Amino acid sequence: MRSTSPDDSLAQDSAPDAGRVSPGNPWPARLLLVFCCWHAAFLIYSIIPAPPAQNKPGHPALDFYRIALGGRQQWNMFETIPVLHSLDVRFEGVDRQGRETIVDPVLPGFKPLPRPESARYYNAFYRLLLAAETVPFRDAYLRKVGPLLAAQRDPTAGETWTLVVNQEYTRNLFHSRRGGPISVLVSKSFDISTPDGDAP
Amino acid sequence: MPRSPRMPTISRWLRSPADLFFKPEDERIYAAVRIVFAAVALLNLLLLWPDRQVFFSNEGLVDLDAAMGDAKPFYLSIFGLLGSEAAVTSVMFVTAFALVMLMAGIGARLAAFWVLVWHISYMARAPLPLAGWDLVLRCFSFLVLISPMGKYWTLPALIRGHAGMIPASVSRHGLILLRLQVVVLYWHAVLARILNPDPYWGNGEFLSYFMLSHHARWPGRWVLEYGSFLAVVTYAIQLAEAAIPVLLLVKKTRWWGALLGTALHIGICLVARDLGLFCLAMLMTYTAFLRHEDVAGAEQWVRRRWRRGASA
Repeated sequence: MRSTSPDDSLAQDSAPDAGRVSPGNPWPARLLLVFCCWHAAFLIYSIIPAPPAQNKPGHPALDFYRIALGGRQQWNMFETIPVLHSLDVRFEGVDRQGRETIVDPVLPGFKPLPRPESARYYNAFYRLLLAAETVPFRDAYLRKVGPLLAAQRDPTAGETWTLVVNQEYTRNLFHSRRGGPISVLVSKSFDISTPDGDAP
Repeated sequence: MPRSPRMPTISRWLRSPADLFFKPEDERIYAAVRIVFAAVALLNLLLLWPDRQVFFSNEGLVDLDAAMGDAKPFYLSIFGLLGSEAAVTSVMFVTAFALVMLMAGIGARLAAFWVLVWHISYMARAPLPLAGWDLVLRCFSFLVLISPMGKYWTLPALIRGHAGMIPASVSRHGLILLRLQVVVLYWHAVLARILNPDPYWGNGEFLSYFMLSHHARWPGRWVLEYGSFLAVVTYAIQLAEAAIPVLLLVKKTRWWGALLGTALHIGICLVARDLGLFCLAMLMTYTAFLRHEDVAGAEQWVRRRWRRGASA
């Protein structure tokens, strides 16, 4: 690199922290070179996306490398259209007298979902309640919520609780252009005592 | 057959990876990556701060046992041990301190190590609220850790007025891997659509649906009136994603690549709600494509402004 002025001249730094390989001992340089070649090959291989629905367990060593060093190289963002127009989640309780109560879903403290929807909360609740591959998270959430609701409400009221998920799905563009709303409401509910859920 | 004197010998071929990875590079490029990366990661942490108990504590939304079961093959997270509300707050406070240290270049290697631990930990503890920028920051946190840190663009050197210092020439292995990571990021998305064709990207309707979704800043019936225009933009996005890495890699066109990428990501940020951090994380990755003359020019510009300000 040729310098043109004192301001942009460069020095061969002798500090070990500056990433220069010591000329005396070649082994650190060799190890670094091998690692760089390996990681570059790992990255180049990662350009090719895995086939869809391939859920084979990987090699533990390679998976460990992905978690600890390489990162999960999945960059197929918006692989298909986002279909939800909006998402709303709440607990609905009914006591023995038929009185209804609504409680917000965010733990701790049963706080409301932020409005307008934040990307993180949207992702969290979509994956928590609607994604097929994260059912253990949903079951654990519903198991946790039952005792918490019981503890903060009047135990003599005999309330039964349901988690209600209101999803507005974007309608097909062809149909929307011919008139009518741009989205359609679909509700899904989960009984707290039977967390497997039921969809009307 | 007589061997051409220009034909490379085997030993020369074997040396080419070393030439590629160990060619000297201006340490200020690494410093630019380190500073901008730490700033964006710190912003991400600050935006997570109000929701730290919701996402990372044992009292929050995401069940620890489910997160441990979801992690394959191992659960790697300090939040496995530190799950109380106070512990989560402490971890994030230490991380904020580490990010400031990384930005300042003080104890930078140790700070970068902690920042990597933080990214691995929170992503394992709370896989549900993750977004695309988390993965970008996590990949860069590892590559920053294995990159030369340098001493020239650090707070101590700045305070001393760079007395007796000139920027060091360091190995460029980190920059090669950082640039390759950016190429993977874009081309993986492009190849995913080619190998597993999606009808909405293919027929140009993707952006119309995006603009009607919860992601959109202004969803409404008006979107239906601009179907043809949005189809053109859908195809333009795919072309841009394929072209940006090539333009960034070529020295003469790197600014065009940066301009195209900036237009793409600022465009997404403008029409989408709450994806600003993705825009910043992606623009942060472009610092890896800076060259010696860029950082030298930037430094000279700042020095001139500083002198002018001091003399005024």
